Amino acid sequence: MAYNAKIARNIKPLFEYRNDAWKCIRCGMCRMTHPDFLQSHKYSDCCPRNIKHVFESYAGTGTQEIVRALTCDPPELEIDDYLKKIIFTCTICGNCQEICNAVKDLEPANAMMALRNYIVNKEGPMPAHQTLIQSILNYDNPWLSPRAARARWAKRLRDVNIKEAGKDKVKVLFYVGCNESYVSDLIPVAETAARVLSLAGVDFGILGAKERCCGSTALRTGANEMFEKYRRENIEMLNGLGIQTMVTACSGCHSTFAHNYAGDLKFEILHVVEFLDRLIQEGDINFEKELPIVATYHDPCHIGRYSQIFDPPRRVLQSIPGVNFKEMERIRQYSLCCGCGGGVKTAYPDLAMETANLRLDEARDVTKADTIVSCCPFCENNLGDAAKSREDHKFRVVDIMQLVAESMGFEKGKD
Amino acid sequence: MSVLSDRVGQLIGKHKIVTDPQAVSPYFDGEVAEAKVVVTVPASTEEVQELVLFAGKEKVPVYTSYGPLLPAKLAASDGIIIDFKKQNKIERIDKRNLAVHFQRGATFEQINQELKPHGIRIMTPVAARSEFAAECLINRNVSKAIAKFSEMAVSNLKVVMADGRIHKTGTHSISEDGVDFREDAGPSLSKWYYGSEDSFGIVTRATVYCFPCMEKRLVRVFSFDRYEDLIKAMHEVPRLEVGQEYLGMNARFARSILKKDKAGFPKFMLVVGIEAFAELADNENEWVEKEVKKRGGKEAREWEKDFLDIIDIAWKSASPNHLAYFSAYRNNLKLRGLVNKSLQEARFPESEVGECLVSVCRGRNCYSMFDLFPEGGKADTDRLALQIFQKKAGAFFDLPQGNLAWEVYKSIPGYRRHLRRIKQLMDPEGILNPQVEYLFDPKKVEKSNFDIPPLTQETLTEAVAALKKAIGDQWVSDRPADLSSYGHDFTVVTGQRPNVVVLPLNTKDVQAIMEVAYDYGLPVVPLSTGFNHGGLTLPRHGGIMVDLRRMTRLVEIDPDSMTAVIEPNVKMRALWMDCHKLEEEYNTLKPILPMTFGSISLLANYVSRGGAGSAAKYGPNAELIVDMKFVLPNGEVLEVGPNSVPGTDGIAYQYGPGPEIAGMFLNADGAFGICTEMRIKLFPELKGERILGAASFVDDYTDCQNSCNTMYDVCQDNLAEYTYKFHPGILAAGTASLVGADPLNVVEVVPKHFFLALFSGLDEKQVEIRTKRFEQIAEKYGMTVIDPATLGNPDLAHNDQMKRSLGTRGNKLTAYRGSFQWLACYLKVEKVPEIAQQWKQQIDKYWRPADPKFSIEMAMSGCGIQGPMPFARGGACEFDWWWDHGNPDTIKRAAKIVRKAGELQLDHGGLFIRNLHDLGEMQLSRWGVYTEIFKRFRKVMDPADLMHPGVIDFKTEFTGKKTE
Repeated sequence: MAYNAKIARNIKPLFEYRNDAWKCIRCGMCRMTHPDFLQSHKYSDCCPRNIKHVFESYAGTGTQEIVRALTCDPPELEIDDYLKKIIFTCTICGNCQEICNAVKDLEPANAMMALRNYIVNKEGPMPAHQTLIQSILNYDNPWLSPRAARARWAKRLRDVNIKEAGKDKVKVLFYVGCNESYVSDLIPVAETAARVLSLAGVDFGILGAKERCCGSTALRTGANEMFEKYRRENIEMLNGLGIQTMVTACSGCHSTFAHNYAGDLKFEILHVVEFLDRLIQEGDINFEKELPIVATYHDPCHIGRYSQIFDPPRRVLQSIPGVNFKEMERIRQYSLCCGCGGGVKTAYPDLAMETANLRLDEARDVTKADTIVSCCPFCENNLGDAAKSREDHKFRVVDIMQLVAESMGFEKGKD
Repeated sequence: MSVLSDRVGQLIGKHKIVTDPQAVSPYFDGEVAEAKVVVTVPASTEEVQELVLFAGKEKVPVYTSYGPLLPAKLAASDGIIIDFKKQNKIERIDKRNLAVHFQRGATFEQINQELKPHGIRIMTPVAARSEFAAECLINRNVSKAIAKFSEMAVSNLKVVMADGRIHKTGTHSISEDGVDFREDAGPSLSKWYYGSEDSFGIVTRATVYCFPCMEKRLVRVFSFDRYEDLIKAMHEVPRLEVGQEYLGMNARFARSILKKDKAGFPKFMLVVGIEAFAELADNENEWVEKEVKKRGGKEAREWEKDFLDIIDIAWKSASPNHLAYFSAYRNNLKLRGLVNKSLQEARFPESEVGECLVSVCRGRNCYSMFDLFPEGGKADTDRLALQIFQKKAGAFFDLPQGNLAWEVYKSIPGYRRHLRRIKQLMDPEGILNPQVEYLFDPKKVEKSNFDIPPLTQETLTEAVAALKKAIGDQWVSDRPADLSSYGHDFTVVTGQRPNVVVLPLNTKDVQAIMEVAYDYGLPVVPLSTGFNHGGLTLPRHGGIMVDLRRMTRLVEIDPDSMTAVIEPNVKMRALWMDCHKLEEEYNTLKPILPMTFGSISLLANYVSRGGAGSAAKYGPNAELIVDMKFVLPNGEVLEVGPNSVPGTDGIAYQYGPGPEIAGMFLNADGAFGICTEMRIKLFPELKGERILGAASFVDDYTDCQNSCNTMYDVCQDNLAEYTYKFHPGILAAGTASLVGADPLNVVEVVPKHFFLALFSGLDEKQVEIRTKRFEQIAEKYGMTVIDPATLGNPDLAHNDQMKRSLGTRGNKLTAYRGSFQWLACYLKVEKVPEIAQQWKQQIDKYWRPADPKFSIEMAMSGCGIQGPMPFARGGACEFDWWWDHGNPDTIKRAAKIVRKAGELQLDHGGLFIRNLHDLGEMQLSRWGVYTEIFKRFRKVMDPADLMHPGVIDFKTEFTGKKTE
């Protein structure tokens, strides 16, 4: 399928989306699970914020209308808190654009990013996002954590040879990302990735305290200028490392480097699951332990729809002995967002939680899975929070790397 | 002679009246000793007009002979009986479009005799209640072929109204030369006359659909020992779409209908009629034999000749003591048991009970008839029917009479009141058939008087608060950012933002909203999934936008009756997917979807009278609706359709009891209420399938005609389940998006006329038989057969757009230049070559884009036919064009071309599919009596003019003036 506009890339100023806004025919396909992949009425909706709020304004069509109204002379809408809510409840999952691309060639998700930037330029970031933005500026990460703590996890892995990129010459840079570096539940993902890379004999290193936020959070919450600053500085630093490949364990970092730094990085960018898939295909990975689980895979928007990485995680999962793999209905490029992205988990946690629960309902009813697997720290965090709050069906929400670690016999926290 | 007979004699001639009690008696259900009533035999519609005018002036009742005999007591009072036996001319036969126009007094025998030389005929009933064909057909006497053709056969009527005026119904309102189509320019009010027993107006002429007499006509007869096996075969075999008539009967009925007194009839018989071109008929015959035998039937060939002789003539009611009802097959045995028990209690001998069963609409339901022959003694079938109804065991009585009628009509909340409202409107003095008193009682019609204060900011604030209280804070918004999305669409129509938007969850919420609307005088505009095409869901005067998308329940799929119950936000493709999972032996199930986006509400499309490319096989969408639930302007809920009668279950017939009032809600753009639930028919999705096209590369009149003739022959051979005649623009846009090209680069190389069809069948052999026939037809008209499967792109031969609504395959029609626009009307297919040429001239004159490629671009616009009606009796003729909504110059031209397109279509007797682009006013101005009825009825239903006011401008006096 040919796409004219990729999701969340090459975002133009708001006024350049004005003509598109007039061309929207309100067909409503953007609210719907992609018709070519739709399997049932029950799972026929795809837009998290529209599922919850329902008004047309909370859909791709509404986005076009808001663009139209704001770009009229004089504007037909005033920027108020409610308008901001409409705009910032979007997870920028890109589902609307994925479908519209095939119908009308419009870019509702990209227009939404332009709208956010327009609002932030006029009125500053959303209060709930202010802390994230400030933390990135102060600490190079959104978690208010010191730079020095970024690579603490690596120091505990004494049996793994992790080089210091920049100081040591390495072919592969493992770009850990803010989540896997600081969030305790996600640190095992970084550990496993490092062990796998090491076991496979990959010459790799990390940046340690010198690693900085990729800027994704700033970009998704409308702080484009700040993102530009990080992009510029990161490009300069990363290109100076002389690496051949960058591997990330974070889907947000991956899509930001792969698409929003596009063309300016002089090395290959892979998500760790792609790397792992390659290693499995080449016979470099041996699984030792059977995992008797029923697992389903949740496609994260950033490596799924944004980056078209659909098969590697599925191949990896299916290669783990004992795993009974089942698919949900809304999968691959038409996967339902977990509800976390675009700063929604921070600004509208209820929406994030409700959406995650919808996704878990689908997993329960369609697959009867006991394990939800993903490749994105945001998805795992959000789906995990929802799973913990449920009584009806016990789910384990894990990163695919954690399953790999278990099957390969790595023990959690082992030095 | 009485004074009345004297004066009536002066009006129409003394030789046309009868007053002698002996001669009058046959019109009554008992002996007439003294007759004050005058029997008239007018020779023309004009004379009927004279009689009705006279009756109105003198307040004398007018009786017609629509079927049942009149109560004898009426003979002793003043009254005029109209007998139509002298009005029996066949006025016109339209062989090409398969219609016959005949006067009310024509009989089936007479009509079919005259049609015979033309190789066509009309379908005949299984139990005619009148000798006159029109009376049987208008009052829905069940056709023997209802298993295959469940659509009502009458398209247009000529009616003498109570005030003496003539109402030509449906498309005849605008022209008798246009398509013969029963739908109206706005809501289908003309349908009121069907099943109304002449109570709203007196029908003097009918236009009835004919059917081609095919190459081969067969009748197969099977015997059954067990009733259970018989009904199993009648239920299951028709859904394989083989055979035309499925008539089950017991020995007593068979003896009566064949008029053979000899013994030796099997206990139960199944008579299956088959009609098709020879090869297909033979194939269907094999299937019927195999499948009926599988279900316990044994060949009974000795009866086949007898039944072949009578299958195409009208069967009269076998006995005057006749009981009939529809039921789901699952309730059939239970109901039969109840009938038999009652008969036993009444000591009526079983041997004198004739039973006849008719399989309805592909075996969805069974129409069960019991004839109690006089040899068995006295029998009160009216009482029996009432008993059955009161058991609430699933029986549906289509046209109840006597006490049963009282019970049926009063059992549906609000139903009688609305029938009375219509009666009051159409016959305020109550002179037409007043003996139908159980149905109509004009004196009791309530008067409405609304005095609503003007809307102010203060009252609006109060109204919003009331709405929030009624349905919850979070589902009501008057915030500009929410309202903005509902204020305009992508067409040339300019609307207004609503004052408030509400999201009801259920019917109760909608009722609460309507109450607030009437309390505060706020206009109400309904919307379902939001594809605001052509301004039909745009507020013109603000008010409450009722966005129904929280009503998302797929309430039920009933595989037994092949129906589904849906709420407004069931997306059409989602329903298709759920139905498609229901695997049966040879098929799955499917809803019939129009060629629009899969995201769109099927309920909204049906209620706004959408059409499908597969109408050729399944009929127009309006005929696929079974039941509807409406919230009326006064907040009351009205259910229409057979299952609105408490106690019915699984009825899949498209008509409710008595007059057909459901039509008034179709194509009404919310004028009479908001639809919150709908039961629709599903159909078998057969497994064999192939898509083929027939192309012509010459852009002239003759080639267009050849393409249309191909369509006629394909449809009249009943070959395809989907057909579309493309013009180059739509073909280029569709093809280009499949192959990733620019439509402008493709438009000059695609065929100028392209007829596409999808052929399906139970197996590959059936498909092959159909496609072979298609190839012969295409060759006959010099068309080149194209198999899209051989063109290298599987999407070109994909059935998505034909069956599952628009997904993404080939669906960038709307992307080119911004907005894709269309205007379509129902038209005779034979008129398309002429209108296509004139449309080209209009395009040349009024549609000149500044683009230097304008000559190519103009070729993009054209005239196609999407979804001809069954047998190509009419087609949805569509003009398409593309324009840039961001360009003010194009907008001006688009506005002009929209009106020009509308005028052209109306000038050719076209009926707009919908009143898009604010063209309703233009259309309605030409519809005379209908428009006046519409306007008056709207005042009855919505006295405060709050239901989507302005979508059709009722307050303007229409002039019909053309645009300059």
